Amino acid sequence: MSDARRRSPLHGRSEISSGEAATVREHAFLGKLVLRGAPGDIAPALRELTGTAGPEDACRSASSNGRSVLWIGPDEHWLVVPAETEIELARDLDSRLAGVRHHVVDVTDYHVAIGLSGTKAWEVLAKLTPFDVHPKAFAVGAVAGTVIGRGQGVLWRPAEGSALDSDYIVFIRSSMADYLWCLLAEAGRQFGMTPETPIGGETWRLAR
Amino acid sequence: MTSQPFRLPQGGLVDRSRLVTFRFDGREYTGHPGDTLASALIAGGTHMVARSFKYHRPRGILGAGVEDPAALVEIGSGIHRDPNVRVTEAEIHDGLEAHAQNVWPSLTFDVGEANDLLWRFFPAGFYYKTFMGGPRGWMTWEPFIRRAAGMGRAPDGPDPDPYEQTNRHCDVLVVGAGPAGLMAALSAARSGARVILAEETAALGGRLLSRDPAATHLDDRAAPEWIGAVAAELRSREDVTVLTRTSAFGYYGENFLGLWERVGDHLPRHERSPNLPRQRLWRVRAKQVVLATGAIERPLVFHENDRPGIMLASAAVTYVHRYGVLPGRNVLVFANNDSGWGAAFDLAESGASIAAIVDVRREIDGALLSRAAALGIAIHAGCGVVGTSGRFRVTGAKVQPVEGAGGVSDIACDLVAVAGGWTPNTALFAQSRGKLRWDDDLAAYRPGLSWQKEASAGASNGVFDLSGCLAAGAEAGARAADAAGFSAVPAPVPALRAEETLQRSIHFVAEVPSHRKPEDTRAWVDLQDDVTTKDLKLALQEGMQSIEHAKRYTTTGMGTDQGKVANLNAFRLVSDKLGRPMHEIGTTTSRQPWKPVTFGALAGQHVGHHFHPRRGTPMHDWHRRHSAVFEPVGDWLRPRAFLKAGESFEQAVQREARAAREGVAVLDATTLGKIDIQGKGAREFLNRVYTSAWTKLAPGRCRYGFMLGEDGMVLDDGVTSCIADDHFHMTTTTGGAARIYQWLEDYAQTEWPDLELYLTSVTEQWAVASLSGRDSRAVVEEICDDFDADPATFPFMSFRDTTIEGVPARIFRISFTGALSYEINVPASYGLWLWEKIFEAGARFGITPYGTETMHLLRAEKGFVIVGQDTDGTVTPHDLRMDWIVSDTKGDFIGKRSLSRSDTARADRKQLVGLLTEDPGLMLEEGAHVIATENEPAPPVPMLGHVTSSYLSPNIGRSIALALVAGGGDRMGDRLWVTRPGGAPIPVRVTETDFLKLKEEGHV
Repeated sequence: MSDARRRSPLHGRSEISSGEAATVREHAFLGKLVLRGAPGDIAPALRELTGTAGPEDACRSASSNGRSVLWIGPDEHWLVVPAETEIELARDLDSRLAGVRHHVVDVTDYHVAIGLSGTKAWEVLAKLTPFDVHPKAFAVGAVAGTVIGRGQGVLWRPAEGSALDSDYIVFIRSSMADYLWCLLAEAGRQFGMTPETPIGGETWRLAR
Repeated sequence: MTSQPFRLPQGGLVDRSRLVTFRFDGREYTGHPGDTLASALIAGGTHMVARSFKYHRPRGILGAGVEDPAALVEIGSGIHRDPNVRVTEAEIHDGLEAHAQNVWPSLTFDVGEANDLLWRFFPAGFYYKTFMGGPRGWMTWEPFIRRAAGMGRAPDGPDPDPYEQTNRHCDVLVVGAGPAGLMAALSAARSGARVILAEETAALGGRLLSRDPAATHLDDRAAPEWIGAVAAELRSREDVTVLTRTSAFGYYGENFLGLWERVGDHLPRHERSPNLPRQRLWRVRAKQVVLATGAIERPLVFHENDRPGIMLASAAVTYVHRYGVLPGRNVLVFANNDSGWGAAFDLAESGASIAAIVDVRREIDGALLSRAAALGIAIHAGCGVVGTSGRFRVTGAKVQPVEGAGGVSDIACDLVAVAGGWTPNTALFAQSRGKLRWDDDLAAYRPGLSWQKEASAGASNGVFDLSGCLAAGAEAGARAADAAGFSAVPAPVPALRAEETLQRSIHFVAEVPSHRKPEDTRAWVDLQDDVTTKDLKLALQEGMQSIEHAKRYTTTGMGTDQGKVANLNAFRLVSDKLGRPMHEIGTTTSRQPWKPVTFGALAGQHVGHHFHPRRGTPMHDWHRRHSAVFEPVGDWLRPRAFLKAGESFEQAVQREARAAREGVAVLDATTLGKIDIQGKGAREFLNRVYTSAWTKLAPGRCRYGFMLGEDGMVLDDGVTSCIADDHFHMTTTTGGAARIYQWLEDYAQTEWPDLELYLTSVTEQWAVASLSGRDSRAVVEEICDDFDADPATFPFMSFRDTTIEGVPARIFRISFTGALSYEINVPASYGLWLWEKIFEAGARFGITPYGTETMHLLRAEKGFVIVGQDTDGTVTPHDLRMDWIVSDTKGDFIGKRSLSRSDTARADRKQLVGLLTEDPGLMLEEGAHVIATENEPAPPVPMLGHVTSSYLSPNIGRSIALALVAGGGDRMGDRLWVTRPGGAPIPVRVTETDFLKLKEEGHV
């Protein structure tokens, strides 16, 4: 059960869909951990605690039973796990990796996961990133850190074992989630998505 | 149909079943879907559409596409006005309104035409020579010149249309869908490669569409039918994107190209989809590029060659076959090669009468001569056109033998079709940094050495015959797909039945010889910029002999057409006059864009509220609901102050600042950078990146520190807390968060990997509320589960982990204000909940939210510096008189060596001091200069420094300021002055920076 006191930056936004072509939705409170460490050092603990030792190749992910390990850098992986299981996993990893050089940090609230699905999902994304997101080039399981709109994020094509039913997932820092959400809606307009207006209307004061 | 007197009874790709009504220059015209403005105007008998840039001479339609130099009009009006649109490219639609531009009061009666009478007085470089003098030189004259010389007007207001950018990667990008481009796309597509085919016009087919369909069969199908079949196959393939109305405008590094698609311009506004952009910019990264951009015919350069009704021969033929209009009934063809003859025969067979074929060559191919004779066409070989007549439309031409003393014959005509030879369109090739090669037989430059992964095919590569283009395209497409990792074979070249008269035995003359005196000759090289041969000759005489200099002096090849038809003629003239071969003259530089692209397309969807991310904290919505006035800090929007009803900004800041000391006030400090640092060398890492010593900081304790750049200057500040011996939580400034994280990661990975530590940014993982003031303890104790916040046992610069209704929270005893403070951190998703909880618990203390302006005031009262406000990248910790923060006893740290440089160590550097005005109500201006004299001396004024921070302080009860002043530390108690514009310098007293302490001690 999710804690009603928690609030996502996309609170108040609901799924936007244009049918088969494209759907944008939030995977709220998805658990996210940063795990740093040499792949060889951390693999046994990962296999034990997540069911997968992590991807073998760069820019790939491995998923099992709703737990996914994403390659982010040579010594950095992200663990994406069901909501509210991340704290326990972080604790378990820390104790299992005691004495091994590593770093586990909970970044669940740092990043918002926005899912895109549909036959035109890749074309929606392509309007916002110079990275090649064509399904042939960015196959299921792939991961890439890149530019999205005027922000920065991580793109992921979750495999079946992730238990996430989006074709693409974009991780964006929380403070930019609303910006990206509305930009995605705008990008999907061609396929019939309804435009969304970003949070705004603040009074500015620049002068002293 | 009488309104279209020049519409041919049949032919063309226009939809004759529908009539389109539009207006040009106040007159109503009709045309058909598929017409361009040019073809529809020509159908209506109108050739003159514009006035020239400088002389306001009548300008007609020279070309039939992107090459046309000067047939520019405005389309639409008000905020929808689109200036400088080429009539040869704009498609007509019902209700379209086009206007002549650069004319007043009208196209046919234009006051600016007076310029033309004065043409002798406007030589090349005229403006430079005439207007650089005078009292204010160019500045005086510019407004007048800008008004007289010109192009269209910008729209009247912000562009209301939507635009969009998108990105694509492909294996093969084919630019141009003529015969070569279609075959290239087909060959590549059949291999399974991802292919993009970009065609600039509305229809696929390119030059094939300019041919007589009855005389052009490919695999026994008429050309349009064959094109249709190819298009259908391409469009049926999932991995092929066919884009029409799409110009490849820029070829950049690493095979990155910009394509500009006009999605809706050809439709009336009410028929455009509200879900589609008006225009779309495609940013394409291609593994291989095939440039099938065709060739452009050149005009001939002769006296009075700029009249409306003088048209490229190839354009005349295009109007007949692609649009079904006859550009003239009585056509004089003027050629320097065989292709003009082919055009003459084609026009003759399409219903025009050919007044004459004039050719500068004396020797003409026998077959051409006999065919002309059979058609009854008068032939003037070895002759040139040496003048024309007619005001708004050519009515006749003067023809004279180019050698000897033959007499002038006047020939009546309503169209002069000029055929000056073909220039391969190498613009994109040259943009890609490919090297051009001069080809004497072709009398043109063609692609030489490639720089990027591209190949030119067909006419753009100097191959002009149709079967050659088809074969070259197929070959290039297959090779490109192969190079991109596919296994491709060239698509079979269709069996061809077509008649062609190609450019052969060209006699390329820069200027048609005539017996006219050079000073009386007005022969245009560049029709858009009004550059004549006389201008170019003058430029050469005056020493502008490099082609790039000649271009800039005369403006030839500039403007919105970038000399697409003019350039080679200009180069040739320079070559002739200097007596140097073409390859020594070289070319001017082809730069992006190939044609003007709207700013709208370049901005794309990133406008209005999608312009830029505006980062907000989890509490942002609360701030909005509580009348916060915001300021941008980096990309963040932070509340600057919270205004109560009827209150001014200044009043709100004063109220908030009092509450933060005397009661309790709370600041949203979520935006501060946070970095989690862990590893066996973490402590040593801190020792090296901060100036202070971290060796003894115990778990549970916090320390404030400075980071310096390698130059010894203050880079960032913040508080770092020891969570465990090998685990620290660092904070940075809001604006420095990303930069400092990367900088630290750089040191950790590349300089000190032996420290074996990891850093992870956790800025947005935590929501942070900073409570300040006497009553803050009570609020903290009330919201936390069983927590003793007694400052005696929970001392300043320490932290505790606790829970708030079971939610894990970390509370730091750190402060921006110098008052009793608690900084509460919870996971960001609980941020708003925490914030509301604080207000619930603080209600009985009258808890006050405060913003960044108040925070700045509060820290100034305590003399705390703001990095970036009181420092500017030239300030050391010693300059801030914070020597205590620099440890001399620990080992090395970043910037340490620089602190002992003679310049950073000298005593008279600018140092941070407090300034108190003698009049306590007077507030200094931030940035104002500090001087040592009562009166401001004459400039240059010797300055001691400047004010960095200045506030009216409610807690001190007067104005306070911080300033960087030369040798400030030795000036305590001195009287100095601060300048202000329009008033006498303000006397101030130099003090220490901790104003709260000064007040406590009775010094204020």
